[in-house]
This record gives sequence, structure tokens and C-alpha cells, in this order.
Amino acid sequence: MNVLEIKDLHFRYDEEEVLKGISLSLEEGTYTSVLGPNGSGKSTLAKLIVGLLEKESGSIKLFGEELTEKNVYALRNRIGIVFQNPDNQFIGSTVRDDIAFGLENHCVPHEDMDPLIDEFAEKVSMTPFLDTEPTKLSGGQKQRVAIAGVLAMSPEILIFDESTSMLDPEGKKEINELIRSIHKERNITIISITHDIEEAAWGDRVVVIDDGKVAAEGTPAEVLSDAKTLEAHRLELPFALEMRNALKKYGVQVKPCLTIEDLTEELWQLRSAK
Amino acid sequence: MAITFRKVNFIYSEGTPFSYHALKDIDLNITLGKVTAIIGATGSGKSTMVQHLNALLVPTEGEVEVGDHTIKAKAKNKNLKDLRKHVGLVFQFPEYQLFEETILKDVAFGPKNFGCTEEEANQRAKDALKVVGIPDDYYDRSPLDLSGGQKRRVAIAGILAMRPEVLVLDEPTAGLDPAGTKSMMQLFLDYNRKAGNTVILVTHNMDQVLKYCDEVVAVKDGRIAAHTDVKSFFRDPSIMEGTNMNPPFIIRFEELLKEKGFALKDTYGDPDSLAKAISKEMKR
Amino acid sequence: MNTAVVLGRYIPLDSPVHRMDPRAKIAAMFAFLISLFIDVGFIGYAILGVIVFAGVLAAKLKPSYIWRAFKPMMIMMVFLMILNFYAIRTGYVMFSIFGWNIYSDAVFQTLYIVLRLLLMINATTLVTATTKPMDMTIAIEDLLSPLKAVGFPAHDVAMMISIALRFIPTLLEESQRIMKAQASRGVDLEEGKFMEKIMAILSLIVPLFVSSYQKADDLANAMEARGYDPDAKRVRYRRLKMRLSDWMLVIGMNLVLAGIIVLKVVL
Repeated sequence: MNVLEIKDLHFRYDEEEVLKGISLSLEEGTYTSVLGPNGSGKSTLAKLIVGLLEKESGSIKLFGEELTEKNVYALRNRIGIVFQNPDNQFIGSTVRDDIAFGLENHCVPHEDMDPLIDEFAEKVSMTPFLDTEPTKLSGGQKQRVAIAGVLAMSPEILIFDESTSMLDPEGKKEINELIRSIHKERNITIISITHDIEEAAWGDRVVVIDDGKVAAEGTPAEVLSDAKTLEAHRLELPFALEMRNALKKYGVQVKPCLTIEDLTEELWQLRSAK
Repeated sequence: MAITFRKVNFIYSEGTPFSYHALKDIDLNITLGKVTAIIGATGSGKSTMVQHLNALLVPTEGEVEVGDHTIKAKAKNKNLKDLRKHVGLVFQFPEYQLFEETILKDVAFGPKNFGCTEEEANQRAKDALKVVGIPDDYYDRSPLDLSGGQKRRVAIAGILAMRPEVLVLDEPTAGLDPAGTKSMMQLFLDYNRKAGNTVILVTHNMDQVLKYCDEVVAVKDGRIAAHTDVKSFFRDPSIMEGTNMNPPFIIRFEELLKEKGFALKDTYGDPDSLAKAISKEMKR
Repeated sequence: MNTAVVLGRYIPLDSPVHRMDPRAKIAAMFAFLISLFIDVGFIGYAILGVIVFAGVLAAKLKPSYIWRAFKPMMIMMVFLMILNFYAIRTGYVMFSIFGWNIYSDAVFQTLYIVLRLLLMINATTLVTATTKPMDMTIAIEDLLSPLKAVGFPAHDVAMMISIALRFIPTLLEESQRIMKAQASRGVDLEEGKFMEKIMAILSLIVPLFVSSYQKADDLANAMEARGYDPDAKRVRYRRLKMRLSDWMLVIGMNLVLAGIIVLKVVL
């Protein structure tokens, strides 16, 4: 079943046409990476999906229902989004209050709140910090709290809008591992908007957006090995594929691999075969 | 000119319950005319350290020597403005420092503060904008109407227009896309290679360190954990332990291959030399 | 810098006063302040003084802390004293300085005002120092909620206060960063001509404004995305509970107020 179906979506920001007819559909439980250069319209797309912006024309169908002004609050209950800046999305005065914020809005019965807060703080390993203020947390920790906050509302779709781009390598790793474990455990459909080509190698599908249009779409193996398309849209090849090209120059032919682990395996087998 | 830290200690809010010992007995000599990377985990003290380079922070103990200037603890340090003219510091997310009506005025703001005439400041601003790739029909636009990446470049031009001999950058490429990152790093490299200036780069990105830097200073818990040239830095994986850094892909790949019994010789941390070494190994 | 923000700052300690319901504390504070403005002479100030002193002791606050909150007021007091000594010429001559006669009414008048201010600052500091800003916001919302009937947006006001409180440290950090960034571009707030100073100030204010606007935009998006609707019903997570001791405080303080009113009528 398709949980999200977008058809010929247009969006204009003042004079500037940001989205120029995007069509996209996502199957339930899949993990999709959305790649694209700065200013390509990826974040705008995310905001349109959760109804924070209003489309100019086209259609957005969530769970088979057309997104309108009337059902935006109801549909939004079923989608979670984690934004880029860890500081600007921390609403509560402590971790506990921040996780509670969404529950308060959704009128979760008061007696259910504490168990839910505890459960999701535990899920993102923030239990020791429940009463800590945001100024005393690292960027990665704040993003974990943001994730706990949206998970507590049991969303069916989770969007990560460059959620790791302001974090240090340690924070990035933490959050990426968390996202993957959430995807594996719960059957949540994930949309991850990112610049990181290596991040996109993980997951079921990759969509490249540039200049307000879908420029390429397919499995990571299909899209990420297409050097021409990536280059045309100001993206880089994953390192393992860059390495494959270098090897070709010296007469070593390997099949395309997305990770260095796979490439190592491939080279090892090639050598052993001789 | 030289850049030297002597027994530098820095304590935030000394004497209060919030006091925090950020730098501990730092002794450091940064080589001029090179690109030096300063790496370390968040909170390791690297940002505190670079803010000593233009006396935004003054040591609690010890002294920092930059060219003719010596910034000493507990002394009245004069002529800070002259020091700041020679050491340009670009903060993280510098786009937030734009404020003037037009792009040209904003870039000329620094040179004017440091005593350039209007005409000279404008000329420098134009030169700097050219370097960062902002076309001249943008000069009279408001910097606030630009896209994120363009704002960043204008902000950096604002520092370049001061023509500092030492350019310090705190994670200049955070949040940029790969193409934007690449062109920006090339710009800093040119500032060093073509004009012979010193570039100091605070970064989390080890691939950048490998590709663009000559030397590495690793900071850990407020102390210098290592100071060495880039090649030897990546050859000794133990240095990076505990810094929360991931080695660059190419180094990790080399390690993986070595574990599988590949003997790789004459690799220089670039795909080409590594591919050559692998091909030799395959033919063996 | 630390002394400047003492007024109204929360001091995290564990004391009976800290554990009280903030609504009770605020209600008692109001009764106290009203009592303070009913003039029954020094006897009234003595009673109120004992109450607030007991409160400070029970809250485990250091007298030096209260003193620091009082210090910024000192200049005002001295100014007031000079003004009073100069202006008030009634009563008997108490003493004279450099041939200037100081009248008894001037002395008593000044003493009244100083005592009143001292007690006022003491009482309000006692409340703010023992109440977390978050709890204070909730208490304000609760106390204002009867006004909802006449269309007063009690909830919105409380949400605004709590967000402002949440972002004060972030904005302070941001302004520090902007100041340093502009200092690196040669901005010098201490030297320079008038026009240069104006530019220097602009170079701080404009970026701070832009970044605050960006933060507000991000925050609004984050709040809305997590289902916040200012017009919809919400279930509040933080709840306050009035216990026996809280009721006793409110009733007790109102009895004091009543007593002082009686005293005023009798005298």
C-alpha cells in the first residue's frame, strides 16, 4: 500500500517557483533517502507533506486521503518530522517536558503520559537526562529527544529533514543508528532528507531532487552508481564507486559496490579466484 | 611572524560555580604558510583555542604570541584591533553576521573598520567577492535576500577583504552540500597556496583533513593530544582513538584491505595511488 | 554580571518553601504586598519583617543572596534620602549636617520607604528564588484562568512566557557569538566616532534580530508539526497540587492582612 502519493506538486514562494511538478509515491514500511543540492526544494517538499506550507497545485495523498486544510491536523497526527536545527525545535524546559509537548497537544490522558515519556526516553537512551535542561545537552542528545518526542505519538511516517547535518561525527553516527533501529523495529515509513551520499546507500530507495523536480529515482544501487546523473545534480559519487573508477584505470574490473565493506569483499574474492 | 601558545590555560567564568577549565597547559607552535587542521570532539576546547588567536579570549594563564603581538594573562592587552587585522576569524555559520544594506557594503565593513579608505575598502570588497564567486550584479542587493550558501560566501568574503595573513575558520562547510563544500575548500586552499597565507581550519571532517591540510593538531579534553603532519597522523590510528572522529573512507578502506591480507605499498591517501597499489597486489 | 541577574533568579535548593505550590506562594505574596501598603506604622513592618525572615530561613537562602538582590536598589535609596532630607521640613529637628537641619519627619519618611522596599524585594525574591520558572508559568496560567471567561488568552500568555524563558540562554549565547564575530571584523564598541558607534551597534542588533526571527520561524514549525493548535484543547502534563501546608500559607497570610486592616481601622 502507498502511504504517500504526490502528483504534479507545484509550490511558489513569492515570485520564485520552488517545486515544479513533483510526483512521488512511497510504499508502507520503506526507507527512502531524498538527495539534492542546497536550495533544490527538498525541505520545502517535507514541509508540504506535513502541511506546514500550502501547495499551489497538484495533489498530496496521505494514507489514501487527500491532504486538505480540514484534515491537516488529523493527518499530521500520523506523521512525525525531525528538523535540522537541534536548538530551535526543543520546546520544553526539560527533556521530560519536551517529550510531553506532543502528548499534551494530542490530548493523551494525563495518567498515560509518564509511562510514555519513560518508554521513549529509554528508547533513545536519554533516561538519565529526563530532568536536564536543553542548554546542558549536546546537539546529538537534543536530536534524540526530538526523535523521542515524535515517536511517542506513534507516527506511521517519519521524516528527517537534514536532522544530522548540524551534528558532529559522533552525533551523526548516533542518530543514524537510531533511525535505522527504529525502521527495523517498527514498521514506520521513513523519509530521510540528506546531503550525505553514504547515508543514502542505506535504505530501499533514493530520490534525487534538483531545481524543484525529481531528477532521478530508484534503488540505491541504481541511482548512486550513475555518475553522470549525480554529477549533473551537484552530488558526489559514494567513495566505493569512486574507488571502482580508479581501479578500472589500472585494469582492475569490479562490480559496483556501495560500501567499502562490500568492495573489500569483492576484491578479496577476485584475488582468491586467481 | 609566528604563532605560539606558551603554557596556556583558559577557565570560563573563573571563581563561580559554573567555572570550566577549557584549556590545560597548551604548548603549541603553528607553522606559518601551511594549512593546519584542528580536530577534536565537541567540547574538547578547539573553538576556545582558536578564539585566542585574535584575542577574543585572553588566557587565564600563560601567553599567546601572534606575530608582533603577545597576549598575556592578567595584563592589559593593547592594540587588539591591529592583531585582528592580521588574523581573520570566520565563525561557524558566519551568515549570521551579515547586517548591511548591500552586499558590497557588508564586505567592505571589515576593511573600513581597520582603517581603509572608502575607495580602497570597496576595491578590496570587490576583489573578495570575485574570489568567492559572487557576480558583480549582486553588489547592490541586500545580503539578507541571498540563499544560505551565498550568504555564507559573502560572510567569508567579509573576512577575506581584510586580507589577513592568518585565516582561521571554524567548521566553514557545516551544512553545505558536497559541491558547495568542495568549492569552498578549494578557495581556502588557494588562499594558502597562491598567496602564501596561513590557514587554520577547525573541522570534524577527516576527509577534508586528508585532502586539504598539511598539519594536524588534535585536541582532547583541553590538551594537545597530537601535533603532526597529515601523512603520519593517518598512519597511526591510535591518535584518533577517543577523539570521536571517523578516519576518512580511504584510510578505513586501506585498513580493511590490509586485514584481508593485501600488502599495499606506496599509497598516499588518494584513490589513484591506492588503486595502483591494489592492481599490483592483484597481479601478484 | 552575576549580581545583575540575582533579582528573579531561581536557586535550586531543597527546602519546604521550594516544595510549596507556586500558586500558594504567589497568592501569599500578593496578600503580603497589600499588607505592606497599608500604613500602620512600625508595628506592621515588624510583623511582616518577621514573616519574611522566617520564610528566608525556611527556604535555606543565604542572607547574602537577598542582600545582593537589594544592592542595585541602594543608589535609588540614597538619592531618595537626599531628596527627602532636602524637601521635608516638618516635625522636630533631629540633627544637622554642615549646618543643614534634618527634620524628624524626613528621617521617618525615608525609613518607611526603605523598609517597605526592603520587605517588598525580600518577599518577591523569596518567591522567585524558590520557584522554577516553569512552575511559575504554570501557576500564572492557573491563576489567570478565571479570566478566560472574559476572553483573556491565559494559555497563550503562559506558553509565550515559557518559550521566552526557554530561549533566553540560547539568545544570550547567540548574542555573544555575534559580538565576537563582529569584533573579529574590527567592531569596537568602546572607541570610535559617533557614526562608527551607531554602525557597531547596528552590526550587533541586525544579526540578532535576523537569527531570532529564524529561530521563531523554526520553532513555530516544530510546534505546529507536533500538533500544537493554539485554539484546541490540550492536556497539560505539569500539574500543581495544593496541599494542606499550601492552604495554611494562603489562609495564614490573608489572616495577617485582615489583622493589619483591623489595626488600621482601630488606630
